[in-house]
Order: sequence, then C-alpha cells, then structure tokens
Amino acid sequence: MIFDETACYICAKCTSGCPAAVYDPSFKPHVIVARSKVDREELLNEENMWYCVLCKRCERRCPQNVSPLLIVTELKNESYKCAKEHVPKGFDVLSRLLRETGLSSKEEIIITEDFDEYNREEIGLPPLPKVNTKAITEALTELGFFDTGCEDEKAKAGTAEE
Amino acid sequence: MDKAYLYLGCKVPTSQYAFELSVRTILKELNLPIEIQEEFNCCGFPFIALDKTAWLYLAARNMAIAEKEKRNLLPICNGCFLSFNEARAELLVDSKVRKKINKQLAKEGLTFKGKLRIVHLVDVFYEAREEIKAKVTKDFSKKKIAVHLGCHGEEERSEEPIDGIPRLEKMMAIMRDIGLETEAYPTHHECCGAGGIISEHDMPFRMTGNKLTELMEMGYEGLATICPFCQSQYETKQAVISQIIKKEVKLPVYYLTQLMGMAWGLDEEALGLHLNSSHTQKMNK
Repeated sequence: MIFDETACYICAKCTSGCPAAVYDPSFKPHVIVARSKVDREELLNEENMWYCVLCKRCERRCPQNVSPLLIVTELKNESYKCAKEHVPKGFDVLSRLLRETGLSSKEEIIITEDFDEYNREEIGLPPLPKVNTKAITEALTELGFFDTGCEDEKAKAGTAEE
Repeated sequence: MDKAYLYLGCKVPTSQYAFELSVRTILKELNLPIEIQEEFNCCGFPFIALDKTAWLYLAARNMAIAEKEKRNLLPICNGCFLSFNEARAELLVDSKVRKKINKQLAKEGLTFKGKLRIVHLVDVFYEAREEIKAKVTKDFSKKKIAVHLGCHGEEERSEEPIDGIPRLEKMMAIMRDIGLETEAYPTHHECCGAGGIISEHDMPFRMTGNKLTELMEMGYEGLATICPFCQSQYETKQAVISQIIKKEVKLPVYYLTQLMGMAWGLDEEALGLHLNSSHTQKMNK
C-alpha cells in the first residue's frame, strides 16, 4: 500500500474514528499529520504518540490515502533513535528477548481459574524450536538496529565521513 | 489449498497455549496440507515502532524460510498476519531495502522473493466450511456469542476480499454453521486495545472493558476471537479491567477454534478449555 503524506486536507476523519482519541482527547491524528511537516522537533517530544493502539482505523478512513499511522510510526522510530525519555521501557525488554530467544516473549507458566499451573510441557506441547539467535543478532547489528543517534546527527557524521 | 507453514509467532507458543492446542487439534481433524514451521523468529511487528528496517528483516526472514520450502505462510496471530502482508508489499516495492535485507539473509542461505502468499486462518476455515458443518454433533441451542475478528485481520480498504466476502462476515458464517447465534453489533470493529498496552497507560484497558461491558449489557453469553492478542486482552485481563473501570466485567471468551472443537464434540483438554480463565467451562456443561 502506497500512501501519500502530502494529500491531507485536515478533514479529521482519522481523529473522529480514533479509539485512542476517545480516551485521550489530546491525541489527534490529523493534528499529528499536519504538525509532522512543520513542527517535527516539538512533536518528537510528545509522549502521547505511544497511546496509539495500532488499529489502522485512521488510514482505513482517510479519503485522501494518507496514513496517520505511518506518520506516527515514523515519529516513534525517530524518538527511539534519539533515545527520547518517553519511549516505553517495555521495548528494552522486547529487544533483550529478541537477542536472547529470537522471539519477543518468553515461555510463561499460566494459571487457570482453578489455580492450576501449566507450562508447555505439562500441557503436552513440544518444546519451543531453537532459533538461530546469533545470525539474527548479527544481521540486526549490521542493519543498524542497535545504533542510537538522532537522524540529523547521523547525517552530520555521514557528511564528515565522506 | 496450497501447502502452507503454520507460523506460531511469539505470543501463542509462550502463553496462549489454548490457541496452539486447539489449532493443532482442529487442523488435524480437517486434514489440511499444513505443517508447523520449525525454524522461525518474531514476525517483527513489535519492533516496527523502533526501527522499520529491523521489522522488515525479521518479517523477511520468516517468509524466506517458507519460500525455501515453497510454502505459503499461515500465521495464527493477526499481528503477524499484518506484519507479513505489509512487509511483503513494502519489500516488493522498495528494491534498495530488499537488497540490503537479502544480503543479510544470504548468510543463512535464504532469499526473500515475495512469491509466497500470506494466508489467514478464517479464510482457510471458510474454504473448509462444508466439512466444518458436517462434523457438528453438539447442539449449542443458538447460544448468543459475539464475533471479534480483530483490526489486523480485516482487509485493507484497497484490498478486494477473497471470494468477495469480508473476513469478518466469513467468521460469523462459520460461527452460525456450528450452531451459534451471532449478529453485527455497534462495536464489532472496535479495537481490543492490545496495541497500546506498552504505553503503560490504562487507556487500552478501558477500551477493552467498555466493549466487554457493552456485550454483557446486550445479553451476549460470550465472545469469540481468532487472535492471541485480542484473546489475551479480553480474557486474561478481566480482573484488572474490573478494577480500572470500577465495574465487574465477567464474560466467557473463546477462540473460534475452541468453539469449533466443542461443536464437534472433541475432548475439552485437546481444545485447551481447561486453560481458559474466563468462566468458559460453564458453557460446555
């Protein structure tokens, strides 16, 4: 799906359908779309972009083929690279699990209504497959996943190298 | 149907055991050409928020493994389904990133070509509809169960539904076939909220709670899901939600595969019903 970031005419259909906006009226996808072009620096400091529940309703409602979700995702990517304080700490856990297991969660013991406890083995499920975490971590390292540094700083560094 | 690898993902094999059990049981009964993918990694979806290239690489690796064995990929999580579909489309368009990622995959003897199809479980079941209907032995006496397909299982606006029928309607048709009563309701497209829980805000829980409360008020006797994130949100979080919204939330939540197995009269443990935490056992008695 190819979206057009520039076609927004601020009809706010995205915001009127946004479930996060119902619970936090300060979260307005159409405002984020507009501000992303003129006020990006400030926008990157705003914590509430993480309230987005990723439901895609904004892009499915947009009459102009804009994806507010994509713009929010780009802002999140930049916030992560710039190590903004508002990036949820849960992502550190996810990244660690990815390096250790190749997955983003680890095997849990679950408790039933009757307070019985089960893991995979006790239920009769085969063990989790072994994942080639070494290859994955190496590839992600080469692709720059573990690098931090804001885009503009990196761009400067890039010019210096050339 | 064409051969496919069943992709378990992260959430299902690490905590949503009832789904893995019931999917394994149902697929065995239907005798479809589907095998479990043994080598896989996270679909990448949680990392899309941090680094788009990392997401594309993680998704591409799984797809490349399936392509090596000339298989389509059948993820049993809506998040993985969307992740693969979007990554596939993006990688086919962006040759620069595709090259960069294939350079990494080549070290493991893998290549992403993008020829595979990403298949949804509801479409697979809809194709096997006659067989599903023929296997029914139990009479649910028109129990009123609400449908929840989940946002990431729905078609994109630009996408033509397979056979011209939207996936949400297909899921409802399957539910009716096995003897349940289900209809469209005001919030049937509403998000489960799982995508927002990493924000550590109580908003996603209120979202989940409001839908559950609405269904209870409408007289529903349960909710059916087909995604481990939706299920975990609606089922295992009911106690927390009750505290947050200061109202008791109590509604049985089932995987579609569990309901299918119940309709076929299969063993409860083989469907993981003993693992559900939302009073689901009562219904079977």
